Amino acid sequence: MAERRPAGTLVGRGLSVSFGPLTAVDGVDIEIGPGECVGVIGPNGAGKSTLLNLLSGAVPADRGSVRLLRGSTEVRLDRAAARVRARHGIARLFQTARLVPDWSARENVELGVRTAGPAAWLEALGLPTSKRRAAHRARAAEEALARVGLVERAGFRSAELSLGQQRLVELARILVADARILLLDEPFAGLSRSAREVVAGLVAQLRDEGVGILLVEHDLSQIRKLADRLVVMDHGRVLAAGPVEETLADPEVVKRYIGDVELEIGGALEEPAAPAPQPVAEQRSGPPMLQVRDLRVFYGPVAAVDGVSFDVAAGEGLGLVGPNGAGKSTILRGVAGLLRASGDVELAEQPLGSLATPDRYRRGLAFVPQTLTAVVDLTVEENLRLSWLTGTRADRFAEALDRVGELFPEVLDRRSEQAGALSGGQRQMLAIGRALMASPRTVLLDEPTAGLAPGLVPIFADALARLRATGVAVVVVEHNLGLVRAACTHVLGLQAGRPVWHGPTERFDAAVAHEVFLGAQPDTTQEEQVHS
Amino acid sequence: MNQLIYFVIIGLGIGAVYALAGLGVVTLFTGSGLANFAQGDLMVLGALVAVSVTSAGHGYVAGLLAAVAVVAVAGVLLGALFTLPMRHRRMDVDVVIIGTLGVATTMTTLAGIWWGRQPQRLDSPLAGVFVPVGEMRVPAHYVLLLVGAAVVFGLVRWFHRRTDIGLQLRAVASSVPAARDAGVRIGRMLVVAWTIAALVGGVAGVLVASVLPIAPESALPLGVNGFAAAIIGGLANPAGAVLGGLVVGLAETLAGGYLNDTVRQSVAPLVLLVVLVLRPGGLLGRARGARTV
Amino acid sequence: MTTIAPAAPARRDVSPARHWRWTQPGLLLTGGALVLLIDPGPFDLRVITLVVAYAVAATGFNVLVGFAGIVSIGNSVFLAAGGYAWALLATSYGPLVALLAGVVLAAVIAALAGVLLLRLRAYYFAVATLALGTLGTVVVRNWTAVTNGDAGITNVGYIKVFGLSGVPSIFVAAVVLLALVSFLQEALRTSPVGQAMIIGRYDPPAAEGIGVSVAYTRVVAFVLSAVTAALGGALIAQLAGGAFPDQFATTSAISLLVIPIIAGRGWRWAPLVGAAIVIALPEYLRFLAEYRLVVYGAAVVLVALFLPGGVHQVVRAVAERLGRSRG
Repeated sequence: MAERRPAGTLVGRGLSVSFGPLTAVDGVDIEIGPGECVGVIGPNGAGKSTLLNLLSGAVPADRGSVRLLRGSTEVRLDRAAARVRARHGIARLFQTARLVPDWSARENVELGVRTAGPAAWLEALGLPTSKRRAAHRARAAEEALARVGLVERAGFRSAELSLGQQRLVELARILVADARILLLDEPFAGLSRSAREVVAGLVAQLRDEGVGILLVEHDLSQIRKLADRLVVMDHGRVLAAGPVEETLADPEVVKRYIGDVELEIGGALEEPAAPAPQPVAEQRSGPPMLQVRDLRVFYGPVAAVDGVSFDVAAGEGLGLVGPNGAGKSTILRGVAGLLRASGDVELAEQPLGSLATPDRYRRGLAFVPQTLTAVVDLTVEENLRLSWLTGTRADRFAEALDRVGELFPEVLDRRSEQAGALSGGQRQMLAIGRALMASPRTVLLDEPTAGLAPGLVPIFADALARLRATGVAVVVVEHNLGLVRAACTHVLGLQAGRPVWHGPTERFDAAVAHEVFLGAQPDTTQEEQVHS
Repeated sequence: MNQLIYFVIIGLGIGAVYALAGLGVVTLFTGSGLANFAQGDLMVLGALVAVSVTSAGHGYVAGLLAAVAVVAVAGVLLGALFTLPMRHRRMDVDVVIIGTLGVATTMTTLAGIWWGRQPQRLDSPLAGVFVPVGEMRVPAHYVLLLVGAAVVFGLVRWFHRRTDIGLQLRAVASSVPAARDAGVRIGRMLVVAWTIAALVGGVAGVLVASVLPIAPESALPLGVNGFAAAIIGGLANPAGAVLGGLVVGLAETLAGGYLNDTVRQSVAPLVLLVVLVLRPGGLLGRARGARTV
Repeated sequence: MTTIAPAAPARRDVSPARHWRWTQPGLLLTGGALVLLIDPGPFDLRVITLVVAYAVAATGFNVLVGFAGIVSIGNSVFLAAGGYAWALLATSYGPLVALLAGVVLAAVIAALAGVLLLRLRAYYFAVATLALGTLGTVVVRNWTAVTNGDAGITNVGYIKVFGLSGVPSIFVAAVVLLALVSFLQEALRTSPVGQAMIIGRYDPPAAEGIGVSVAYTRVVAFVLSAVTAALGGALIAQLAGGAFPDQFATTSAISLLVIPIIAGRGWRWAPLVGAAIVIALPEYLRFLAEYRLVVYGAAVVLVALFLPGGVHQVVRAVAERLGRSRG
């Protein structure tokens, strides 16, 4: 192999970047030294991947500096493009394996071997020396593949390798490139247990050999195993940082990471819930509206959700809770037909089979995606009409519009404005309003209160309760456990795509929440269960 | 001075045709993010159908209607062709580029077989009518061009803004994922987008056939001019395409009148290149994903 | 050493074998010799030579489309550069100078245009190249002082090799050039530059993350496509006995594009197979009269939509089927 690069420390100071009105990263300081692994966790939208992009050069920062310190020299990388940083030894793994599918594993790894300009051209011209150089590259690639245990498959097409193996090929490429700083973006996502072990082992080895590693992960068990320090991000800022266990036990972290919830007020619901037409706790079990059996939902070839079953009767509300990456939104999208899924889904006792999404909406399924997915270039009224068009049309447009106006007068007041101009809260109201326009039988809501001011949450709890009162079944993915307890009759807890808890809301208390959110993932070994 | 006015009117008239060509490009692009290298052939198709019908003695309006019908069918077919096989595959830009080039070749050749390769003119309903400009006379058809373009533009705009299908089209144009989440049938909307683009192109072809002799080979230059017009507006801006068309038409006519033919022929490609190099988002539009690296 | 999967199956290697850089030219030269031995009639030899000329031009284009994944509809401009350079210079300054001049001219245009235009996204770049090609045609048609306009330039001479004369001589020169550019294509494929192009096509962010400058590789690919197009254009001019605007219009650019698409992007045999289909097949399908272009157009559409891997995809499927029935 080429001579080793000297170790260095990657330092980011005051990093900030905004995309339009959205501030993704705000004044973040971070440091990755040789031989240490820094874990980064945080809820969705906290800015973790964006931070990684700022460090790797994929996105230029608006403010702040990125420097590489080596001994007494300092290299400023703020303006440097990703490829320049790569040549300085900063390597990055993306969330999905990025190999050339038709190439062999070895060729993909060979890409990591640096070849200086003129030498590369000589080889392109096929001059005699090229054979030696090519052999040298192939040897280096094979050595790296041997280290990750894939040397027997060096000649295989990368498309034929499993996801875990592809991830290892990428790591082999990094080995060959002699990277000194490694930025990993959820490297364990979608891997089988044995694959996770191999990857984790390799990461630990690299760390011990002096490579500085930044590990963005949802899988807390891996963080615990591999990270020396932990940084918790929220809304683009560093919420807490320090040794792993201490930081995870920080009550602020617990509160923010799990969601806005007064768990400590053991049992007392969010009082400010507006007077609902009926007491929320009353069980109204009507006919089954939504029945899901053995649902598996796929992102490409990977099953992100594996074996989920639940029933929701008319008038009931089911809350889906769990840490990020657990697959909650994925379940909703699978039921809505927006992602490939297997298993049985029945709406009002009619099987949906493999119906396309528009047909499911016609049958009475409504889906309210996460924020910012109203069609921004259309006006409020046009958005409402669009949802009415694609829904059951059980009511006339004017009637449906009136109903929404009753619930959310503020939204109707702005009916001629562009949806993109509404405030966050108004957009949320519009989102639910759109679902109502379709006169649905079942409504799926994906984090309807995400990013909302706490004062608005009771309004939503009220709206959901009123919705349920009309006999609609509701499934809500939520981080705000107060809302879940106020608006749902049952709760389903998920981790890593699998259900870990299912029961009535009354039994969902602080201990259960802790277990669901911060407990060990189902895929880990026995010893990890001790931590919690 | 009068010569200038003469050229300006002619230029605006031609520009109106380019505007329609550009409008066809923009309509498809905003509806689907794609564009059609066979747009010029659709224009030629409309023109030649109209010529056939009118020379058979059925009158201008019949020719126009026939052209519209034929072009609509072509649009539906093309839309289906480029949408259905894509349903389960990611839509690849390359496929559409190469596929529409193939369609263009086929259509140009078929047009040559069915109508011959000689340029043909369509007699204008306003033949013999002139608009006096000083001592010069402008054929009234140029005014018809402007009026026709305005009518088409207005119709398309009305359709987009006031009908439910138009609403769905706009949703798709704004964001395919958002439209899909809202339950819009994307495939059908794409076919509609193609059909509208074809209709606009067909009408443009009928209108232009009275001032420019149209042969199957005219498809390519018409297409290039359509792109130039659309690019000025940024490919996503219908009003921009109209403006772009007028600008290109004016520039060409003035160049042809005051300079020489070479410059006239170079205007459209030069405009395209310059705009793409300097402001890929168009002179009016935002730099909406035109650049990559 | 930990392994993830149970015992791996027998060792295979899909990496392109290095021998092809010698084997392919060898096969081409041998094929050329065979053709001469068989001594086909003048018409057939002319067609075959035209096929080889287009194959030369398409080799660089195969790199552009197949390795770097860029679609250009304007390479007719580079064909013209090579063709007119030959027409103007060959008789006075000899074949080497004429060829070199064409190559340099094409390379300069490509480098300039590439740097300015290659940052555009696929669709915009294609339109830009169309404009470039159109401009090229306008220049060629109207710069009569140099190009003699529509009348073209005649009496341009041809490369005389091995004491041959006439079309056979051009044929031999063409085959030799094809062997040469094929060697370079293979050498490029397994070299870092070529590999950088390929990953720049599949995944630009990942490529940048490894240190590859995607913009740079794209310009290089574009220049290479221009260089081989210039060589091909010179051969075309020799074969036609002159340089005329019609030879280098947008239709020829579309032919260049269709060649790797129909045959299989990036396949080492794509330039030759594709050229045979695009150039020779219409000649031999004359019984279809004017409909042959319709068939051609329809074939392009169908291949683009339903058979994206082209002939190569079919060949691979057949080879796999045979391999399986044997083993």
